[in-house]
Amino acid sequence: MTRMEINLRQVIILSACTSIIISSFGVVVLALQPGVTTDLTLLPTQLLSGVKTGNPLAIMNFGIIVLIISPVTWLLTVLVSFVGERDRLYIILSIFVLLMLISSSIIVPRL
Amino acid sequence: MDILILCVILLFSILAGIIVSTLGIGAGVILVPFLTFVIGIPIKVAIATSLVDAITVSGAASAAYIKERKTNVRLTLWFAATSTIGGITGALIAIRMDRTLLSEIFAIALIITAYFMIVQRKEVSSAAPYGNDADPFKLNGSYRDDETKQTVNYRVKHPLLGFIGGFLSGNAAGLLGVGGGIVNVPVMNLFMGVPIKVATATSAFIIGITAATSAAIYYSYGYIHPLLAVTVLEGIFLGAIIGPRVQGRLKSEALNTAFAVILIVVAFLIMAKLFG
Repeated sequence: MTRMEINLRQVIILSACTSIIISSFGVVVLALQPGVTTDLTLLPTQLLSGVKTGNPLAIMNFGIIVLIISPVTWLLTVLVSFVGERDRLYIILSIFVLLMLISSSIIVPRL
Repeated sequence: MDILILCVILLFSILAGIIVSTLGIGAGVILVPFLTFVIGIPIKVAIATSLVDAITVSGAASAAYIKERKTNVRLTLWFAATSTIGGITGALIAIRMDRTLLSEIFAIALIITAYFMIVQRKEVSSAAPYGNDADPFKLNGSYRDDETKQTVNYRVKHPLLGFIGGFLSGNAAGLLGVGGGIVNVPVMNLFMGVPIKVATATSAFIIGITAATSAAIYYSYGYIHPLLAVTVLEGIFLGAIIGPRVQGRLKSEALNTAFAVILIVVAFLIMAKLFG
């Protein structure tokens, strides 16, 4: 494997495991707190305060958000490698895909 | 949500994970009809759930494929450049679309998936021998084939087709949550000269990026039910661990054809339900 492939594989495994551990922890907390509603959607501000107070819905949501943004970390790893190789074409393509990913979660929903 | 229903969803998700990892197809074609037409969850929530799980499956598969050097990372970017655009437009269309029309389109997508499941396996890899041709985009590569125990070199042709294939697969993912493998793999294998194993591995990586783009939009519109998504996520993850262990005991070609037939039957059942 090349250095980029080794780093990319490690980042993929780390990001997947992190999101599954956080989400599963949310399910365990939910099992310990019966009666908590899980059908609500939380605002970003409620999410952080909910995680701090051990709200199972917030913890599960946080795990899902970590999962959704994990491809951003994959692309950042690839981008850093291409910057190291000074490969302009793939630096541009990586940045473009990253911008699309970020815009889908920040800009597009506000349109 | 009822604990019994969650247990049923978890068990079905484990089964779906086994099927997905054995046949190399997207979980959406199994999950979306089950969640919508058996459990009664709205199709947009089912699609959003399927997209979240596609990221997990993509990550698990890519970690294995990268180790085997079957994922072509540079080729991924040619597809992802437009699959992300397709993923955004597909998700935005689906959110605004009538659910009956969405279900009809989904049923047609199932039939197309079934067609490619039957036809694709019969295609011979069109990989060209590794020559001294110029490789301005550094897309050519090689991998070790476990069956023949030989190193296979390949040359990627027509990279611009990646932009077209990427957009179409991204649209399918965002609109229907079925992943883009049904478009990516045939485009890479049949038109770009990429061996089927590299095409499958590279497509798995592309799907994760595309699914994340669409999932972010569904999340911001409130279509992701956290408990449902986590239940399916854990089931799929467990199934994906069990899948490779039972894979050797199953005749994958027969299983592939049988499952394609099931997809066609499910498509017609959906149509029958929609048209009363």
